[in-house]
Amino acid sequence: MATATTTERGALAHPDVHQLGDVNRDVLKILGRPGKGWWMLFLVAAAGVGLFFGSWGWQLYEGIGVSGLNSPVGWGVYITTFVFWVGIAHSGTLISAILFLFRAPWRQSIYRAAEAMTVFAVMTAGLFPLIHVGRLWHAYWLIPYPNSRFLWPNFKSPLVWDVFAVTTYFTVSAVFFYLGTIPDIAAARDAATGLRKKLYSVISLGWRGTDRQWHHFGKAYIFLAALATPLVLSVHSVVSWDFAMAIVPGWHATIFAPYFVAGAIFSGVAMVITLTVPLRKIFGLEAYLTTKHFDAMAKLCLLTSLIVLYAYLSEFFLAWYSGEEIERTAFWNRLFGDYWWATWTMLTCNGLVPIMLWFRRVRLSIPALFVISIFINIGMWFERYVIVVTSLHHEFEPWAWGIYRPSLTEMGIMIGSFCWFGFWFLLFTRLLPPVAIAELKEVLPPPLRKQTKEARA
Amino acid sequence: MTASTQGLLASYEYLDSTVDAIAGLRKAGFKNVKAYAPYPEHHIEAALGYGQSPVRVFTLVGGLTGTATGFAFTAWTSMDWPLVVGGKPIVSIPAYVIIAFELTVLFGALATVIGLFILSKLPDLRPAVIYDPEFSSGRYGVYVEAPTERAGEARRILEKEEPVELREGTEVAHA
Amino acid sequence: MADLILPDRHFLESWGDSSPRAGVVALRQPAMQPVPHFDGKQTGDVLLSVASRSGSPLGAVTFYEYLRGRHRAAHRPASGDFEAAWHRMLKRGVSEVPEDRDAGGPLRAFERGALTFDAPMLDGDGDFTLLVHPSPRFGAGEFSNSPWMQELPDPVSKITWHSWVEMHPDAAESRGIREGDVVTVSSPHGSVDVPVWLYPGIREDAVALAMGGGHADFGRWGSDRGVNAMDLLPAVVEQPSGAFVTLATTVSVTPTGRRRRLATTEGSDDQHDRPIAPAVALAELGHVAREEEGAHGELQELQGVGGFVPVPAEGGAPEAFPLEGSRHGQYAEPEGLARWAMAVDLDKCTGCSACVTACQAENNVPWVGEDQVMMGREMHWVRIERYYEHVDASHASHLDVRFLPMICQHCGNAPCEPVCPVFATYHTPEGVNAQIYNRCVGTRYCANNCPYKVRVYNWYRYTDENVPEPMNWQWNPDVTVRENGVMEKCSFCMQRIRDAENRSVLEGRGKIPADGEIVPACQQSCPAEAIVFGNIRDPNSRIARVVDGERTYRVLDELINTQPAVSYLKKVTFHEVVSGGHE
Repeated sequence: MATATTTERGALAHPDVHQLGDVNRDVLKILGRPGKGWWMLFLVAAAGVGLFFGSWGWQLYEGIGVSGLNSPVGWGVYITTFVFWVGIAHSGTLISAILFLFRAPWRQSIYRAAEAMTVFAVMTAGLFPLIHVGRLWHAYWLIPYPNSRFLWPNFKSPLVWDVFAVTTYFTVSAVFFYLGTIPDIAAARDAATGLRKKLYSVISLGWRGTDRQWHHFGKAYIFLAALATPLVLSVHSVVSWDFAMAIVPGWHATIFAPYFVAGAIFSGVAMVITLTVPLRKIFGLEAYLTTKHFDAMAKLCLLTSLIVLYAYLSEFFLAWYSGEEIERTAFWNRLFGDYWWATWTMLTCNGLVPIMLWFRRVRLSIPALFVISIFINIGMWFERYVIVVTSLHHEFEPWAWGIYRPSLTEMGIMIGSFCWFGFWFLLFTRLLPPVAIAELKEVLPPPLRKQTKEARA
Repeated sequence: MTASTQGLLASYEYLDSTVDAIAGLRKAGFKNVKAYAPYPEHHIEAALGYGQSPVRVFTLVGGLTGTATGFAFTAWTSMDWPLVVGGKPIVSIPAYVIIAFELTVLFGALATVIGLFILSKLPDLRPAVIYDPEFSSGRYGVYVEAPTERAGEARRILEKEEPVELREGTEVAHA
Repeated sequence: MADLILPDRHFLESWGDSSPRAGVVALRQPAMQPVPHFDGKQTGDVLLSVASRSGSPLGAVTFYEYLRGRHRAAHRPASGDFEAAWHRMLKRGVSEVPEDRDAGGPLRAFERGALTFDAPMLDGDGDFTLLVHPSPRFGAGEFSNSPWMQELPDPVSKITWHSWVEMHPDAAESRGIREGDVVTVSSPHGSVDVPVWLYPGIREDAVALAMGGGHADFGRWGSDRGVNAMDLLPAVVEQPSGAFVTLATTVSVTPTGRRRRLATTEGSDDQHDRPIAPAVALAELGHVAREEEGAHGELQELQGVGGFVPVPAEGGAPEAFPLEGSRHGQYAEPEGLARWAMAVDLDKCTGCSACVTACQAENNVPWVGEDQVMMGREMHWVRIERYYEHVDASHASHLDVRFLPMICQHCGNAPCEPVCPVFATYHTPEGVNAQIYNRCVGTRYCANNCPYKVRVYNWYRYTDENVPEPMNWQWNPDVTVRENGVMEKCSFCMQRIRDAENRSVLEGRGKIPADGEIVPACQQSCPAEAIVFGNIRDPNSRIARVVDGERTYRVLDELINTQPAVSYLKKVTFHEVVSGGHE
C-alpha cells in the first residue's frame, strides 16, 4: 500500500507516546478528578472574581469617581489593562492561525491552550471598556442598532472601530477555538460517562469523524485561519489607533500599529509560557510540551522584544529629531518626569531582561523562561501604562498638567481581571481537552500494518 | 436505509488497511462507502476521491458581503443624519475602511462556519446506532452500505484487511 | 451673640428697592412663590410686626404697604395718578422719581491736616511682617459660607477651600520649608497652623494671610475651614477711620513637620514657551500697517473656517492646510447663519475670576469639594490660567504675571469631535462645538484629545450630592442639570443664544439677533469688559472689529491647526517681552 506510508511527519520524540490512542489517554486524564493544586488555584481565582465584580459593583454604585482618574488623565488603569489583555490575546491567534498557515511544526501541542487564552483574554479585555465608561447603562449606544431617533454611532471614532474590531475578534477567535475543539470534545465524549457524556454529546454537535466531516472541516479551518491572520494584525492596530488617531503628544505616531502588534505578540507569547509551564507540570504533559516548544516560543519572544525595543528607541529618537518642543517635552517627561519609574520598569522588563534569551541555555531552562515571561508580562503592562498615563498627564496646556494616582478600586478590578481570566482558564483545563488531540495525531507516525508486521518479524 | 440494503462497519487499527479497504470497496463498485478517522487523514480523502470543498464559496461570498455591508452601512448612516465632526467630510472613506475590513472578516468567518455546518450536516444530535468510540481515539473505520445481495462481497473485502472488529448494523442516515 | 436667628426671604421672594447708582432707584418685587421649606418673613415685615407688638406701630402692616407708602410720598402730582404710575414703575422696575443727585455729597469736609501717616507699629520680634489682606473671594469673611466662593480658585494662588500662608521661595528655602509644608505662624497674639504656598511676588521679609477662613460657626460651607488670620492680630483700631488695623505685627514661621497637598488648580506656572499667553511690548505696538499682509489674517480666517465651509486650499506648499483640493465637512446651507465667536482682551483681564463663578451660576456647574479639587476634578467651565514670565533677564524675581481665561475654544477643526463614538459632541452650523449631555456615554476620549483641556467630567453625582435641598432651587431652569458620567464644557451660553435668536425671529428681525444682544454670562460679569461675543461673519459687529487688530492670536493654533473660534488679544507690557512672547 504505497499511498499511506511515505509521508514524513514530525514525530514527537517521547518514549511514552507510540500509538494514536496514547494521546487520548494522556490528554483526557486531565479531565478527570481535579487535584489539590487545581482546587487551590481555582478557589483563589474564584475569590478574585468576587473582588473583580465587587469592585466594579462599588464603582457602579458610587460613580466612576472611585477611580483615580481626573482631568487631564481621563484614561488610566482600565484602558491600560484593556490593551494589555487584547495584547495577550494576540499570540493565541498567532500560534493557532498564523503558525498553522506557515505549517510550523511546533504549534500543535500548545495551540489549544494558547487559543483558549485568546478567547478568555479577549473576553476579559472586552469588559474593560464597559468598566471604563461613565454611564455603563448607555454603553450599548456604541452599537449600531435601528432606533426611532435615527441615531447612529460615529464611524469616524476609533472607539467605534474598536467595538467592531474587538467583537469581530472575539467572535472569530471563539468560533475558531470551538471549531477546532469539536473533534476533541467528541473524543472526550467517547471516553466519558454519565452527565459529562451528555454534555459532550451536545457540544460536540454529533461529530463522528467521518471522511466528509474531516474534509469540509479541514478546508473551513484553513479559511478561518486565513481570515484570522489579517484580523489579528488589524485588531491591535485598531487598538493602537485609539491612541495614534488622537493628537496627544506621545500618542500621535505612525509607528503605533506595528509597534502595538509586535508588543501584543511579545506579551502574548510570554503569557503562553507563563500558562503552559504550570500546565505541563500539574497535568504531566512533559511528553507533549517539550523544551523544543519552549525554545521556539522563547525565540519568538526575543524577536518581538527586539521589535518593541526598536519602537521605543525610535520614538525617543524621533521626538528629539523632530525638534518639536512639545513632543520633546513629552518624551523627556516620559523618561525623567513624574512617572519615570513606570518607564524604566518598562525598558528593563521589555528591553533588558529578554537579552538573556539570546543564550541557548536560558531558552532551554524552563524555570528561567517562566521567570523571564513574568517579567515580560509586568513590563508590557507598564508599557501601556506609560503610553496612556505619561502622555496624558503632560499635554499641550501646561496649566492643565496633573498627576494621576490609581485608586484601590482600580487596582481591585485590575487584579480581579487576572483572576477572572484564570477562573475561565482553569475551568477550561478541566472541561475541554487542553491539548489538541486530533492535531497531535497528525504529527504522530500513522500506524501501518506493513511496518508493524516487519517489526514483529 | 431500506430493507434491501445492509450496513457493515469495520474498525481497523492501521491506516494502510483502512485505505486498502476503501480502495477495494470502491473498485468493486460500492457507492456508499464512508470512513472514520481520529484525525484528518488525506490519504483516506484521496482514496475516497474528494475534490475541492465548496466551503470556500461560502467564505468568499460571506467576505464580500461583509465588505459591501461595511462601506454601505457606514456611508448610509453618516448621510442619514449628517453631522460635522472635527471639520471632516460627512462620508470619510478612510475611516470606514476599518469597519468594512472587520465586517469582511466577521461575515467571512461566520459564513465559513455556516458552510461547514451545512456541508457536513452538523449539528447532528441523533444517537449513533452504529459507531465505534475508538474512532475518536486510535482506530479507523470503514462503513459500507451494500444491497443485501452484495453484502457478502462487501464483507469479504472488509475482512481481507484484518479489521479489529466487524459489525452489522445501520447508520443513522446522515452524511 | 444672637439669641434669635430668623430665616429671611431672598430677593426673588421679597419686595424692596435699591439705588444701584446715583440717580437711579430700582424697584424689586417677588418673582416667585416663597420657597415652601421655610415659613419665613422678609426682614421688613419682621421689623414692622415687632414695632407693632412693642406698642409703637410704624403705620404700615406689611413691608409692601410700607414700600408703597414711601413711593407715594415721593410721588409728584405732575406724573398723574399714583396707582397708574406705581404699576408703570413696577413694570419697568425703576422709580420715576429720580433720587436727588445732590442729596449725597461729602459727609464731612476734607481736612488736609488730618491725613498723616505713622510708620506701622509692629508687635513682636518675628522674622516676618504679617500682611493680612481681604480675600478677593470672601472679602473680610462675609462670603465664606458660599461653596461657589470656596471652590473658586484664588485669583493668584489658585488655592481653593483652605487657607495658606504666602511666602517668598528664597525665604522658605533658607528655612528648609517647601511648598505644602504645614507651618506654625505665631505672633505675640496667637498662632495658626497653615500650609505654605510659595509666591515669588511677595517680599522676602513678609508673609501674607488672606481673611475669610477659620470661621467657628458660619454654616455648612464656611465653618471650620482654613484659619482665621485675625487670630494673629492685636485688637487695634485705627483712628479716626475706625478700621481694624491689619498691619500690626511680626510673626515667626516654624515648620510643624506635617505636610498637606494643596487644593490647587494649578498645573504648571510656566508656559514652557508655548504659544498660550504671549505679550507684546508697548513700544512694539502700532508698527504693523493695516494694509500689510497679515493684519487682517486672523479675522479672515475666523470668518472663513468653521469646520463647515468648504475651503479651497491654495498652493501646494507642504504646510498648507487644508491640503490642496481637500474639502472640510460642510452643512447644506451655512450662508445666512451666524458664526459665533469670542475675543478676550488679556490686557484688560485682571484675573479676578468673576466670570468663573458667573458661568458656574448660569450653567448649573456643580462644585466638587476640596478632596475632588485635590484629585484634579474641578468642574469650572472657565479656568483662569496664571503664568509667570520674567520682566527682564537680569531680574529673575520680577514677575510678569499673565492671566488667560481658558474656555472651550469652539475649534473649527475640533479634535474632540471625531473621537466621540456616539456623536455626543459635534459642530453646529453656527460654528459652536456642541455637547449633547444626554447622548454622552462617558468614554472621556474627547477630554483626552482636547489640547486646551477645557472639558470637565461629572465623576460623581455632584449635582445631587453636593447640592442639598433647598440649594437645588438655584438651578437655572434653562440649562440641563447633568448626571454622573457625563462630559460637559462651555457652550457659549447656548441657552442665551437660542433665547435671543427666538426673540429675534418672533419679532421679525431675522434669525441672527442684533449685535450685542447675546451676552454670555462671563462677558456679562466681566468688570473690565475684557470679553466680547458676537457673530464674526458680520463685518460691522463689535467682535469683528475687536479681532481685526495686531494683538489678536489664537492659543496653540499655529501648532495644531485647531482653528479656534475664541481669539485673544495679547497683553501689553511696558517692559520688553523677554520670555513667553512667541514672536
